Amino acid sequence: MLQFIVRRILWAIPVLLAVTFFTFALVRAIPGGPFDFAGDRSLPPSVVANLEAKYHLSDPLWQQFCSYLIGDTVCRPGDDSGRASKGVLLGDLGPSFRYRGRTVNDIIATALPISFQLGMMAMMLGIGIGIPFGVLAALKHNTWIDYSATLVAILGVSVSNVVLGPVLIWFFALKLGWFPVATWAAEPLFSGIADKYIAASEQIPMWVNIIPKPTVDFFMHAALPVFALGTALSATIARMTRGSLLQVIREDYIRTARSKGLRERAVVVRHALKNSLIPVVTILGPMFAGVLTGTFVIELIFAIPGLGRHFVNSIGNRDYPVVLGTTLLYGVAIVIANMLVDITYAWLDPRVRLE
Amino acid sequence: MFRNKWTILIVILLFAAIGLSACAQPTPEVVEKVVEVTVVTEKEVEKVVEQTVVVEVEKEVEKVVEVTPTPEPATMVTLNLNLGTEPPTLDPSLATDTTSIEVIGNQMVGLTVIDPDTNEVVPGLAESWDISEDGMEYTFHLRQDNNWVKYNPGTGEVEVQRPVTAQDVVYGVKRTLDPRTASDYAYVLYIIKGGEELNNADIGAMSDEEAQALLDAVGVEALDEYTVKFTLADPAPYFPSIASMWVAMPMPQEVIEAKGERWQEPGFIWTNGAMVLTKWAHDDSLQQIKNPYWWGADDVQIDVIDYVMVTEASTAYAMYLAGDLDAVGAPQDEIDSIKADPVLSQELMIAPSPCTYYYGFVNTKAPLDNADVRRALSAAIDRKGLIDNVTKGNQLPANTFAPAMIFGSAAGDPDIAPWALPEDMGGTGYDKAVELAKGWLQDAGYADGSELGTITLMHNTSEGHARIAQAIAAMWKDVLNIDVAVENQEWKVYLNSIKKDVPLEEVPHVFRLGWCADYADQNNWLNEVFNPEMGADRLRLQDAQEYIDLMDKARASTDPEERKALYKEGEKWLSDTHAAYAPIYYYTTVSMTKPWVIYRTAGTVGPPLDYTWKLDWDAKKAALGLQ
Repeated sequence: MLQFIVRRILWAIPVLLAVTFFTFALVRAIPGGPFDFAGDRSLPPSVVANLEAKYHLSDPLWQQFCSYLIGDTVCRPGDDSGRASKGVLLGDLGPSFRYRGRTVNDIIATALPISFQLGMMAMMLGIGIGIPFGVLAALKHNTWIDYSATLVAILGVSVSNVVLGPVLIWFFALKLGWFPVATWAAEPLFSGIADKYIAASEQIPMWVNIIPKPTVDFFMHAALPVFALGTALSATIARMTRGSLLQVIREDYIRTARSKGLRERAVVVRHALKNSLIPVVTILGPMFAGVLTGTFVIELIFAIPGLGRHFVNSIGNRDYPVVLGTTLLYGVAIVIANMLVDITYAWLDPRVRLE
Repeated sequence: MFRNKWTILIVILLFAAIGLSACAQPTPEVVEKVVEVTVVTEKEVEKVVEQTVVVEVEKEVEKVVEVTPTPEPATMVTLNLNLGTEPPTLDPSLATDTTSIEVIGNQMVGLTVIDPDTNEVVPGLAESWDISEDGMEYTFHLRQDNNWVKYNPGTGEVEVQRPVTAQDVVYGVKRTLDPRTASDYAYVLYIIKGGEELNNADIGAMSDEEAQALLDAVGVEALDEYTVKFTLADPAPYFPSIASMWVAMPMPQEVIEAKGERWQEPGFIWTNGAMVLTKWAHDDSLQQIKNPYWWGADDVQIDVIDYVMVTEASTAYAMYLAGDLDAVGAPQDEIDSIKADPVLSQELMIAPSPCTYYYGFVNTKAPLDNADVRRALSAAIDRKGLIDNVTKGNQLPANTFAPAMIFGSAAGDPDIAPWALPEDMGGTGYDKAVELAKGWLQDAGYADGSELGTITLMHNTSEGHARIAQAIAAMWKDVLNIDVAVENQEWKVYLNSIKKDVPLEEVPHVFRLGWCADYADQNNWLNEVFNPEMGADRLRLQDAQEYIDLMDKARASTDPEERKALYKEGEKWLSDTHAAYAPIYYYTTVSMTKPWVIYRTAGTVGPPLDYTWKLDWDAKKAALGLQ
């Protein structure tokens, strides 16, 4: 097991390097640079030159890539600007071009915990609704229960969050007034630690922000976006569970289990469901990675200050370091999620060996 | 065996669920309680705090008070507004966008201020200023009662640092111009002697003495503690307007040097304006409180401004309806239903805004290399119809570039492009304009618009721009029988596609852009945007010497009436005789304002100065059920 994890991590290194390289090259290949224009006014060449010099964009490309990877101290000897980066290998993702004075690390430290909270709650809701409904639909195959569960699932998949979000806001927040319209209200659980950073006007580290204080206010603000995101996820999970379970339940060994006189519950839960979860787990991995690193639409509609907006807006802003940082983060999340999926395989199906 | 694993899974899931939601002792309850007490009565605060804190470590004291920056809503007059987006910076030298400038305008005050009602230059940090005979030297006399203040997040107090002096202005201006600061808007200060040289210098390759010599050569000096003199490179009668801008604000050298790029964070930043920055939760919210030590504090009713950063217009509008915001921009899709609603229509406010929407023509690209063709295209745009049916925000049809609130504007003057104006504004009306357009097309040698071939019209990707482009393309087709291909591109790609150096065969015939005022003078419009020697020259103007001369003359003249006359000539040259571009409409800000807002600013040339708003606080409390 340990050997497996170590090997997977080693394998992840060339993958992430390739991701870094291609993103680095692609984002610079898009027409238009970060500093050509302020709004729609083109800036004088000298002003652009000053900006590019400040952010090292006037260096040769290989040197920029080198600096990004292993830091200015190695690749830009004699840099005395006082803002030398340590390089991505040491966890320094560089400065944002758009948000002057903020680093990509600052942005991620602020935004990722929020996306993570939203994503975790939505995933729990999605799994909590999706799997039981899928099982129910499969067991009551071709009955009204199956049909209505399928209908709901299809609706859940096809009604986009762009529609669902505003409808939820209109009905539950404006008409009924049960929930706040938008925004996120997470206070760090360890607010004492956070306050020390605030008092010193410093960036609060990510780990302090990640666990929210479970206040009523927090859950009231979270309810609508979690519901919108969670139901969309649950629909996919339910369809997957239903299809897979239907297949497994017709297998010979299930008939054997039944013929041995096992209770139906034991047959379904222990024998059938477990095996049928393999395809479900397969989609859960990337879903998890995607949801935890930010969902643009939900975060936009509910004004949640998560990471999703940075994924999208950084490209429009040509904010190269933010594009690279968020892409890398997503890459890391995918690698970890897939590793967890593989470990879960081995546990769900003893025939799978982690080698 | 696997039963165990199954249980483990459930336990893990439960654990995760608990960890994220239900678990967790809330932080020491002592703290929270104390907070409440501190808020309720100000005088007892100290006692209570000390009593509780005796048990705690000393640091806890700070923490306790520190949680109170948000004053209790019902006793503090609070304004709730939406910034729409995260301000990219609060550093006056680096700001370029309206969001940053809105926040900076509340907390900093420059030498002069643009009055939000009249859009005229009024005294700010400078009580008065003298102009030398030749118009090359401006001497500003500073107030002596303006102090740098800072918010202390440890105590929740605003603290006075020291007086703002002429030296701070000198430092601010030089800092903006210093190439190491890399300010986007540094070019605005090129009008100051030595400014352009400093900003263009490769300062990294220079010795310290050479760099210092360049810095010293900039035409700004402190004559004494409270007098600062600017020497200009060229006469610029609009310089008092420039002096209001963020790039020329005083800046606190000691903080900037001590804290580096993080000096703009609450707790570090020193400011000299009406409000003080207390909280900046990036991408989420921002809070400013009243600066009690400011000279005009008596006239500031607002104690707290709470900003949110909601990008999605429909969400912000829902928050407004729910009472979370005192004002909001009205989403375009909602305007019809708002106008039809008896209550909401009362809250709708439409105010002119210092921006112009226009279509640029590439003057060298056939068949648009003929002024008659361009004028025909411009006249065939039904501006009023477009406003009534597509944009719907009561915008004003434009016949010139600069809108009315800009010094030297000739907006609505029927001497210029009367065919762009409806009859009730003194123009010819659209029917007549169509006749004129057909005539000009024939003058240019085209009996029918189809002979022009396909005209490409490009805009940056956006639903609003697409609607306008489709409408105008349909007008050109209906009226002149011109085939139009509408294309769109992502914003930065688009800006590169319409640059002056793009080959003629690749550049579109027509492109859309807008322009908003940096300062209230025609120089910022006709000269900086369209003078081929100044701006980007996307129009690729032909035979422009006459225009360039007009601009140079208007810039140098010290006689306001003469300047106005020259700019009017410039407008006529550009919009009518050469029809180098098509002005379409002057923007309006379309916003909703709650009935308890007694006074607000809107569509200002300078920062909107939100702290000048006035609320009927009792009405707001009653409406929202605040105690």
